[in-house]
Amino acid sequence: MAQVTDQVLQYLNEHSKVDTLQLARSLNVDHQKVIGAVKSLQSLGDIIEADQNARTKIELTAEGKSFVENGSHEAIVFAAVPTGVGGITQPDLMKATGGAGKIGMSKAIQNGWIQIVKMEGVSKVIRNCETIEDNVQAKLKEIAQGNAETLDTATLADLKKRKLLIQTPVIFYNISRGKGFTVQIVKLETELTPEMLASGEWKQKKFKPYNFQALGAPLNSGHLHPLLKVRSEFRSILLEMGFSEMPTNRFVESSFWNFDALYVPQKHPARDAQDTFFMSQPEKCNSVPKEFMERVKAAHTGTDFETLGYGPGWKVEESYKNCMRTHTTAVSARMLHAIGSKGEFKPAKLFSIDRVYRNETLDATHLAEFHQVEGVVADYNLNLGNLIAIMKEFFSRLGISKLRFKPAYNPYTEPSMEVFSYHEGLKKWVEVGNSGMFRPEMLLPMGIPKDVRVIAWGLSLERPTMIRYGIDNIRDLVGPRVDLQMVYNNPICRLDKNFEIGSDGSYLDNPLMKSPKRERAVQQQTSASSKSRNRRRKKKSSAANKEQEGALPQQTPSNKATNNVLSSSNPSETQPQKDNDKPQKKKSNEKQDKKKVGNEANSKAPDKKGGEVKLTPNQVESGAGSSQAVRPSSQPMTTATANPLPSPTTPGASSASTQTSTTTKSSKKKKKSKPSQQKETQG
Amino acid sequence: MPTVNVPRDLLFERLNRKFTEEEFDHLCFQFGVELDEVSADEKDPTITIYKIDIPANRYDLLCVEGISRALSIFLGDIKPPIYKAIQPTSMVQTIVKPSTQSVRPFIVTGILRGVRVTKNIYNSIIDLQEKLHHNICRKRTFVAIGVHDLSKLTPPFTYSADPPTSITFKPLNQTKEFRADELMEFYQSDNHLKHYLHIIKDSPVYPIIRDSTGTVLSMPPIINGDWTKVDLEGKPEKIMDLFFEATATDITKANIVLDTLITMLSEHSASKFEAEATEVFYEHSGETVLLPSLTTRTQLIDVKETNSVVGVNLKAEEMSTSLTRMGLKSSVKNKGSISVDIPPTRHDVIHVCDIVEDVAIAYGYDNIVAELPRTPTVARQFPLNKVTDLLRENVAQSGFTEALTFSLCSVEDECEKIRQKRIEVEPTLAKISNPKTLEFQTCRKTLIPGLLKTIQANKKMPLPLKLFEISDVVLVDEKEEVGARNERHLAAVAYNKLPGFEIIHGLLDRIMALLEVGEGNYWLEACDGNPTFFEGRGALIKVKGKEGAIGSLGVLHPEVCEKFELINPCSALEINLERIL
Repeated sequence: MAQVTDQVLQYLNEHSKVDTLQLARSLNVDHQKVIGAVKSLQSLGDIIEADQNARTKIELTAEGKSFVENGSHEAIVFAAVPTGVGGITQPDLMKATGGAGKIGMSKAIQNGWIQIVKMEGVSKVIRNCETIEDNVQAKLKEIAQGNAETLDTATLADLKKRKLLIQTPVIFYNISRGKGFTVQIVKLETELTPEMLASGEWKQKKFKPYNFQALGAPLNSGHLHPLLKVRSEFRSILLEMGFSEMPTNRFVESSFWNFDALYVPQKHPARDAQDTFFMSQPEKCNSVPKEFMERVKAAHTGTDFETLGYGPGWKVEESYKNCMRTHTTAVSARMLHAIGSKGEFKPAKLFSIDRVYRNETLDATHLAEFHQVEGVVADYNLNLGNLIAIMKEFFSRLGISKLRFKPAYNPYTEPSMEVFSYHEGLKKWVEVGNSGMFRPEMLLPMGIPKDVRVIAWGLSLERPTMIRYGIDNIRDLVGPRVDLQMVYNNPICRLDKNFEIGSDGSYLDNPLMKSPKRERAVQQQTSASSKSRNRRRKKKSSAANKEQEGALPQQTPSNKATNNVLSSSNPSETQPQKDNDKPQKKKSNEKQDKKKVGNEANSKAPDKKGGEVKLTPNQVESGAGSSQAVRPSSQPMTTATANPLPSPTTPGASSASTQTSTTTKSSKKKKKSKPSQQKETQG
Repeated sequence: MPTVNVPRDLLFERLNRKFTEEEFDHLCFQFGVELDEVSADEKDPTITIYKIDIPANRYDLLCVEGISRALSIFLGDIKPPIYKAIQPTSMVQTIVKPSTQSVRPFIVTGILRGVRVTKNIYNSIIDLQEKLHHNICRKRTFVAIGVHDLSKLTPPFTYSADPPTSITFKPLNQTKEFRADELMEFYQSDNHLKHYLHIIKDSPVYPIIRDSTGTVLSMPPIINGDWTKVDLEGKPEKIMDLFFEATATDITKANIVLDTLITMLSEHSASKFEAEATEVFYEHSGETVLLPSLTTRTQLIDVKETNSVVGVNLKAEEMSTSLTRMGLKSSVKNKGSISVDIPPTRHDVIHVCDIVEDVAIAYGYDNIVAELPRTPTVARQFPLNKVTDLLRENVAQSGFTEALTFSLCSVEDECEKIRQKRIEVEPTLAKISNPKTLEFQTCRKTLIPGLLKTIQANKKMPLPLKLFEISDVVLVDEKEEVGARNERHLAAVAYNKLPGFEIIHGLLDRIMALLEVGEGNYWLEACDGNPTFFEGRGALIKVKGKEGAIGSLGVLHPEVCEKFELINPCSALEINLERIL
């Protein structure tokens, strides 16, 4: 090999460029060996340039080669036929010509060289002419000499039909001298070894360049399930918001806790066998708190708690029927009852995420069991504004910010609000959750004080997960038919990817958190003064901002472009941008962009200052490549390459799901623009 | 959530306003209904139909009359009407026989005089009945409605329950008379009516309403008589006296249904919003009831309290106006309270909180100032879930991939498929009485079958497959309040060319180390009693100081692999986490 490599370099030294097929002939070396030499030269960097090409290679078959040597069958046959009228009998001719006989004779007859005549009752073969030209042999000789291109395609096709030649596609290279052309090549090392490190040999060695285009080696990792990763994320969000986790490890529940304690009428359709799984074993619960049950009954029948109730006919037996819980609210009821049963009321914020069950007809978005996310706040004098604020806070952390609230009906909440979010893909408002204030008829029997109000909300875990990861069929996500490849490829769960670096602590400033002294007049002032603050902030960064936006369209999609072009395909990428967006957002984006530009610029021109360097888009694009010493080749090698994280899947057009009260139809939203209220301007 | 289909033009004509679709959608949203779909009428594509989703407790919005009236009031265009039941000098009476008490004990009645019935109004009557039947009446089980042409009848009426063989009449839209038992047979093949037959089929007596001449008005809840049907006889318009009856097993719902029918349709009667009172006499109790009641209830609400719930600061007058816009005619009693009239259309209002919601709706949910509650809390995780999440991370770090499988399964999954004896296992399963398919027969008590199904569905994936799941199983437990309890399990399987017992064993060692069960404090004990595992390849996991085993592991029996169509050997582990935390 080394020899061939030297020969190739020597040849290039003399001829400057050549194609490998020709080179193989000139050097009289097998073409594959030449290719091998070219590839190994390529791997050494820019000694040679090689462009890959393909052509059809024409080779003679064994038969074709024998034609070149001995003449064509027909010529052999002709030669075997004696001159003169006497001729030769057919069997004698066959004997004389062997393998060539049969085909040769018919071809020779076809060419008009010979004919068969009857002489005295015997068939004889005689010549028609005295000399012939063996064209077939001549053509094959041309091919053998590598001049196939002189022949027309019809001829080639004819020869191919006679199985005298075969056409095969051949990869070859046009090679020429590269920038670092030399005839003296140094042997390159593949990898650093412990020995080199020990001996210091590495200082003298040159190393083969890596192919940075190849993928890294697959790792033997374990993976967490995508839905449960989202569950973990939801848990931390709720914990961050100060909610404690409820013990929801109780799938089988009595109708009393699942329905009656929640003030769901005994004749409510949710209590039909059509909608709820009832148990055959254990069919009934063993006990229900007696006194509490009496109060629940009074609330249902309207004999106490200042309600008309649902009329007479409340039955204890209905209460005892066991079911698979239809919501985790059954556990919330237990928790609230426990809170109400203690002498002194203490405010509570509770959450849970766990399995619930519905006797559903299954389809692509509905299963008989799914995960419900639920939050509950119990405190004195809570109001709907508090509930709305919690919804805004919670959903914004899921990356869902454009919310509106629709009046709705739930048997156990009043007022009730369905939470809708604007879906950029569907261009419509879709339901993302359900919420409300628990009815007094539910709370008072539990012993919750009269002026304590309890707000609550719920949604399914599956729906936002499906939308976040672009999964159309719930069975690809949950259950044994899960696509494990999807599990392997699933990214870490970042629900709101547009986090702010915010090292100034600005992310801690929550506009929904009011200062203790809240007065309406102050609020108005606040919005006015925050406006002027916005202006100041904008001004401060506007100079750098302009230049960057102008110069780096690829790096920094301008607000407008993002809104229109990308929002439908990947809303999660585009959340913070909106014409009148929060000033903090904008600022942090700039910061990030500046940082990026700075790095690029520094690597190219360290003497210049910061991000203001005017780079053309092309420069920026090729920046990473040109900063490296070696150009990547296409030769597969074991290399270390960053395998980029799979980009988040596009949330597809989600079909509107209508899974009862706690199910979610969700989507990713843009930040709702609202005047931010600054702490220092209040009070 | 019921959906009502209303022709757009008719709706706008009744509202006496025009809207763009977007404007109307917005109005609906504000009011708490949802414009779900806009489509063309099936029969006449030139008519645009609005499909509107109605909250399940607003029966007064189930027809075009109701929706348009409520929206007109909401828009401030009209005042809430006052509904009245006028007592005539001689009331139409219905006598209830004791025989009805065993099958369908209640009846409510009412009359609207001089109703101008047009094609549209006729459709409204039919549609509203249909919607009520489907929702509050729970497919006629609780309440069944009949509307009759009073001019063809001779009161008083008798509501009784008779043996089927003694009832003969010509049912609606039939050409001949049927005996009741034959009629039930006949309707077996009627796609619409066959769904209601079960309500009375097994009763020895069927409910029947007749007039004084024996003419059958109705055999509730199945079918009306043909003679008394509301019939326009091809005319564009006809003035009629309508008799409404509703029989019921639930008197509360019956009254709601009757009030809804009467209040919705009374705007078409000669004297608008006025019904004629009727009398129902229960023979067995001697009780007489005047119907429809159409009572307007008055409720006082506290302004300060209401503001505090909604999170606004409305003056009493503003609040009163808001409530009136919601159809609850209100007046300021004094500075601090408002007197609210709850009309017979609003049976959804059963408590003050229902009125408070209407204040919030009228104010507009989106106008309420959002403020996070200042509830001082310190959060805690549920310890079992906390350790579960920590373990999940660590098991995944050990190279196992997490599965998430169903907690419901078939009994076979828990028995035959893992070679367990049904006679032993079935009594310990929490079973479901009404599953729609075999997949939901029972709660699972082991996690391994779910993992094996996951492998079964992912055989195209490169080997090895190493899966785990940490989840709750359910076990029957008489000591528990509901008779069953959850138990948190951890299970893992290794599937490869070789059984990989050492891998699954290695995972167990890792888990024990993570949970600080020191080496020497747990051990494996050979166990051939577990048929899930291959002979000599299954073991119990014992922990020092714990009675019995905390789990088991082993190489799965080849027959188990076969049941799950696995072509490679597989080893598995399942432990009850709650015993070693």
